[in-house]
Amino acid sequence: MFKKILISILLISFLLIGCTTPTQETPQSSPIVTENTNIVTTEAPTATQIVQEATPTQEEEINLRFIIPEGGGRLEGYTKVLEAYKKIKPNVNIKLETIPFKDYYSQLPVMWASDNPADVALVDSCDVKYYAYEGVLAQLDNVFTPEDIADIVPSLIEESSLNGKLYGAPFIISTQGVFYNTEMFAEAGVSVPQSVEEGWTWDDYVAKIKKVVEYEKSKGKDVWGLVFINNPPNIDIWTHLIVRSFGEVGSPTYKAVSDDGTKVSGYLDTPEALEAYKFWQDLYVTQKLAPQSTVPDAFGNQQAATMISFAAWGGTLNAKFPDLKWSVAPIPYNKSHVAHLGEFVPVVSAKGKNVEASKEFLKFLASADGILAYNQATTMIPVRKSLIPQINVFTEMPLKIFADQMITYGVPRPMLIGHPIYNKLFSQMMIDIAQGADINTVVPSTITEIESQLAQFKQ
Amino acid sequence: MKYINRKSEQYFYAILLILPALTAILIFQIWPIFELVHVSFRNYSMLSGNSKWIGLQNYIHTLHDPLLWRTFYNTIWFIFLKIPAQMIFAFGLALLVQSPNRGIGILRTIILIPAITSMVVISAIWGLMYHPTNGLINSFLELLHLPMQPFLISPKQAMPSIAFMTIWKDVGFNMILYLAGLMGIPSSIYEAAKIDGAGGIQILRYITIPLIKRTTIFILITNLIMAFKVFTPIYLMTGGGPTNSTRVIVLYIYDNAFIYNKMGYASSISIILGIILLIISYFSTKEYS
Amino acid sequence: MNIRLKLINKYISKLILWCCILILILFFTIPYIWMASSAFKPRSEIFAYIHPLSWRTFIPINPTFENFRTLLVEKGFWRPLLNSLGIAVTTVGITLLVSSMMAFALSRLKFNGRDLIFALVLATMMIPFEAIMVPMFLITQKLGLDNTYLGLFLPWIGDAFIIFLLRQQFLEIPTDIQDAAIMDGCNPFQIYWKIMMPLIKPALISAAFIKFMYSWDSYIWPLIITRDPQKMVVAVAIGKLFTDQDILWELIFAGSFIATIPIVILFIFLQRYYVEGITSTGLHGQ
Repeated sequence: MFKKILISILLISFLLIGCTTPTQETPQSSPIVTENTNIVTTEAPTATQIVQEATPTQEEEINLRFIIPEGGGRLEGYTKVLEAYKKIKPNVNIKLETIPFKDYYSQLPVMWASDNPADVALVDSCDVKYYAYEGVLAQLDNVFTPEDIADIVPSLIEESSLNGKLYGAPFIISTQGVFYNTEMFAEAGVSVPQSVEEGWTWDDYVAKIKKVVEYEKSKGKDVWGLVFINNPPNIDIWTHLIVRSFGEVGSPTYKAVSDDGTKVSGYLDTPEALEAYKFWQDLYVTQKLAPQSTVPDAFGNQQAATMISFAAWGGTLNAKFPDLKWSVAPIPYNKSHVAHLGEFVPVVSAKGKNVEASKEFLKFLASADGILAYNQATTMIPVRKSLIPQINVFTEMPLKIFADQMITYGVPRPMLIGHPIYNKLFSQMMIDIAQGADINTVVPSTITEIESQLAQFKQ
Repeated sequence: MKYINRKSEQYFYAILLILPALTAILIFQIWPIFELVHVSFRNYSMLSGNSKWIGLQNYIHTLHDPLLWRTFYNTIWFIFLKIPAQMIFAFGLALLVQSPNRGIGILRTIILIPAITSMVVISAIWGLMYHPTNGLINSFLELLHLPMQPFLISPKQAMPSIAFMTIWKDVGFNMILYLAGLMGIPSSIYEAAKIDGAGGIQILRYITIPLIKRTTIFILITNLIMAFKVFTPIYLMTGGGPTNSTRVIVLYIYDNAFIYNKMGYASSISIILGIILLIISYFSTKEYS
Repeated sequence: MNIRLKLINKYISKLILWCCILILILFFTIPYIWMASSAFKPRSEIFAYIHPLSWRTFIPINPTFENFRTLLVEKGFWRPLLNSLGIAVTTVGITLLVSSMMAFALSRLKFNGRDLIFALVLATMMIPFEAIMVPMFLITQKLGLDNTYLGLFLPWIGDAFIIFLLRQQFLEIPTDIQDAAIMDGCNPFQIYWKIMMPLIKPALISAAFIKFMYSWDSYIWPLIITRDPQKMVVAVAIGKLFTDQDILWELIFAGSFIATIPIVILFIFLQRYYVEGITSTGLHGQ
């Protein structure tokens, strides 16, 4: 009896595994199990192909693998780009592979350690220097012309370069904004700056959200003043908005790391920075305006007055919470205005088997055509200033705020080779501070740890 | 204990029987461990592939790394919180669910369900349940007019909270093992004891507990080894915080390998952990036989 | 008088017993009830009624199948489910076979190097998976098993814990049965297959549960080793719902619900054999 069961179980399981469906169709929304394979045409090269004189005619099939993190509308956006590229280069098959977002950062090194890394990958723009330093990225020497570079926000080129050589191809970017519940603010009689020129200070901002929270409380409703996507936020793109702005432009507080990227004492522990940390802790612990732990959908569910998030969040709000009335205000400032420019940039693996073909693809991706193709599916600010007027949502309120911030005072996050390590340790410190840790203990110990880890990058 | 004689036949069958498992173990477990030892004597960057021999430097560094000592402390604290409570609870449950009564059978199944649920799923759900203001557990506390607790955001409560969740999950697993052990006790002994007039507690103290000593040790060692290697719930629920209060050894190994790009150092910590666990198991097998 | 007291005593202790059982049942099921009810709630409801506690926490006001529809139809969740099921069952089958063979050899056969091999097997339990996963991955890739079903379960068929467990069980079988078999002219393999294995049925079923759980649970290894969406497993599919933009809690709850139910059913089905094993095996003595 037992034997029979064992054998039948084995048979059934082999059958189940044996059934492999060849290819999946591409549904509208982002599926977990969709592959995106360009169909191969093996006829003679078309006229458009012959025009590409940069590389010799590519009749042979080239297969590229492109790895992206799941979510964020990336799958849809890049799918559109691939479709457009297929028309130009039919012999290049590009396969998109998605990795769960929370594991993306740890899977990249594993992939690059293996013999068979993906040809093209996405890397957070502030991490490009790190991967370039470690030698896993191919230099992108013919992706941009000088005209292209003039059109792109200069700090972004610097962010994706190491020692003057470009390793990442910026093409879309995101900044942050304060989403606010227009009904709550109107009822409480609190005004909100409507443009980047107006602006508001952090103190002003806190006073205003406090007013709204108290008004709601008088109506018997408990709301948060400020939420982020993750509470407390766990990456420096959010937390450094406050800390850096407590210093003048170019001051150590603003720079948040030494120019050679190895020292943080004298940068993360200036009196201004300490003031910022106190402000941060105050927000969470004393005034309880922000939640110390995850509160999913707080803003969407009208359980929060404001939410600091990025441009694409507007799309999510419209889709998931259609009844919510929201608008966007600029990020508050203290001694300086800070809005972070940050996004995943495409890179080419140095150990990939098709480096030249990958660079060709990146050239298309980062061109105006590529950006516009991406925007057909997912709306993102182009890094090319000339393209902004072509994408309507960014010329009108509320999303105009994001584009304006990018042009006026958008800066990349602190630039250093060891950014991934810096980010992790600094963010952990900010979370600890938000959850009530003693600033005088946790700041020095974090600084010591960061510096001991950054020591390896001393040049 | 008599063994099967006729040596050559024995050898042939022995090889036949152990070959498949042994091959898999040698290739996929032993070989990586050798690689690990090899890397632990080097400065190895997974990204660049650069590998430089530095001898015992990684090991020496472990002695001077206060954060590593902290992770050992945290891990041992986790073990103290989890194992005694879990084993006592499991033993009690095993005694309770021994009877083949249908209703009890349902309870037995229910207790085992967390054990077979994915740790990823459980961590996600309990993470939400432990929310300091909007969590299910705090809602229950509120109902009982008890103060709401911070749980995962408090350095003092984070580890106990995670330990409690893992007890909830793993107790079923221990319970089965205890059940298996209890079944090995022949009912004749119980009958004899009852005839001699022994009451429930006496039977427990003088008969049951001594007779499952072997099982208990086995469960203890298994739990100990698994607890030293704890990773997933902590990674998913607190990531080592708040203020390093839940940073356990394997999490530190993971951080060193994947974030600080110090594979060599991470490997040396793994080897040290392995040696500690080997020592623990060695002493237990002495106790065992 | 005495009889009455005894009766009351009996009733009270029965009452306490059943109260305890009820509390235990609630203790182990409440998280699942919450998860199950949330799976049937629309996104807006899931987090709105946790606090303060009310019946609404556990029962949806507007029950909906939308989450399941999105998951199964749009996101194709059925594929990872089948994958995980097939892989888990295969892993369990092969592991039990191969590991029990080794456990038998290590316990009932005498040969040179036996203890060394056993020590080697145990040593593999001392190193955490997270430590060797990178070398394990690189080796698996070198063998060309990258992105294959084989690569998913082959590294795990030599399960040290299962070998340990089963060897334990074999050691407890009295020798007279074995001696009788030898005298009847059985070779060791026949002794293993026809006699020993049936005798440890409950342990085999326990081992099957444990192995199934590890296989169904496994996240990091399938994540590293498989890239094709067709080969994705349930844990990774659920992991993909945690994105930077939005954590799709309603789908996570629905996915967890789907992932748990078949296991529970399979489990309840196998439980019967477990009980059968207990009552019919007749293992006596130690």
